[in-house]
Amino acid sequence: MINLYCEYNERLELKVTMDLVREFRPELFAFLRHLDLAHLVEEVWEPLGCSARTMAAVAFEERPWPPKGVGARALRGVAVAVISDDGQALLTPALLSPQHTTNIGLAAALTKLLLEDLIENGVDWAALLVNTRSQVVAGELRSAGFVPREARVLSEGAEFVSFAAAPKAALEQLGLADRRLGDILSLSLDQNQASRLTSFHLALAAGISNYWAGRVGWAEVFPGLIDWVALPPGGITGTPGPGGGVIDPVIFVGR
Amino acid sequence: MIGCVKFTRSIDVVIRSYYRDFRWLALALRSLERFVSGYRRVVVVVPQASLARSDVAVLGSGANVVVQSCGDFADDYVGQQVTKLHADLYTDADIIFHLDSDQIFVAACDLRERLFEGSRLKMSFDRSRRRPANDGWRRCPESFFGRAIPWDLATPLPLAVPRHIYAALRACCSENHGKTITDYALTTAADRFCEMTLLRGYAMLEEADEYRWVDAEHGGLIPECRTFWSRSTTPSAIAGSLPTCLSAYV
Repeated sequence: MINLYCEYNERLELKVTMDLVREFRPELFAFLRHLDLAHLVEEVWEPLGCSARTMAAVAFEERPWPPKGVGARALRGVAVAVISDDGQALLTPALLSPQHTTNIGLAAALTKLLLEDLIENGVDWAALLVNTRSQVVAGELRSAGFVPREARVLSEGAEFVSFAAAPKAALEQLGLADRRLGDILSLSLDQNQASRLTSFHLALAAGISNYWAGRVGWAEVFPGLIDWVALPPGGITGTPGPGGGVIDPVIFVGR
Repeated sequence: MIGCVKFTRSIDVVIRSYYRDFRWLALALRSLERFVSGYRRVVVVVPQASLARSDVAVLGSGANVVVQSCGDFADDYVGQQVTKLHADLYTDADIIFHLDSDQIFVAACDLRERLFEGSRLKMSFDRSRRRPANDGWRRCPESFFGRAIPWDLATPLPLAVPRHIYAALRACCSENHGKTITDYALTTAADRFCEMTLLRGYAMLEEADEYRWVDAEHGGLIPECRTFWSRSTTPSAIAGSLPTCLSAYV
């Protein structure tokens, strides 16, 4: 079935980069400016990229001609993972351009690319931080094979818990594992699967919107932009640290 | 013997495409099937990564279409040029006829009649000053071969090239520049590298008498082939300007 974004998505280039800010700095500013999030580049992603290992699935559009130079590329979607040394990744739900709010094919394609690259890079667990009082997002994640773990983030009186899944299992649960990228971009899927991806991605996008708007207490999702290097030994799931004792990490994030 | 050569030398159409052009590619293949004769088969070459974007095998389901994959390039604009310079590795045809995905035949065409004059293959150039002398693409073959070329060789595709030129050109690159033609392309700015000018340049500098040189000012070699620009329009948008048998297919 032809949808609003079929033809547009065919033109998008998708790739995974380990160096989002250096490779896409001007495009990132332009992309985030339209989401009122341009401050993230210098305040978060740039310093985070210096201290932690990050991976980002990006989708961009190229202008007709010339193929290089200022303004040649325009980002349309970004999904970021911050990776720890012990094989875990914290995800931030895909950000899409304002005109692509319902472009589920694009969001799902970014998810697929990112999860596949996490697998290739030996990442065992992919996690999202979810408000402990969340039902909508928590329900979607549970149905996609994510389960609550021990790590916590406390911010603005709200508590967020890590929901984690093996990337391969998440791909399979979401029906993205054996699908051609082009079919996902065009949502050439049966209606049940398209609906599944729709509820998953819309829930995540809506769940994090209150955080981006500065209403942390009402956010169902907390962005996975955590500086792992600053954490105490033991990792985010509370595995034994050098001292042998189990640490249940709690991260306090102010504004 | 004149007149025999063009019938004994096999011609393959080679289209280097990628995911963004698959709708155009489908249309181009349809137009070849509908209007064009005189070739043996169509060889479609796409980067490995593009295979994930569509079922290209469906496009190659026609009897005369073969789909092959090539390596991925960070910059596929250069990538498609590099692939074309290695086209002889994707087909064993005597003559390789390069076509782009957005080049559509709109009337009947016998390639052998269009590509040869007697026993000589036609090759186009542009005697006009439309492209200035300091233009990067115009200067590309001079920089590559280190010899003056008075004409503009950056005339658009289609282009038919005898297969021996590809290996000879690659050897020439190693000898003159100490690097592969892939590395040469990757280390040259996009506005200073044009693969067609190198293929034509070799023919002009090394074996000019073997060809019938045609000034592009007098029209393209294949008037039945229309060139669109896939980066700025779509098959649906130009459907009205196509013959009914093709527009119905868009």
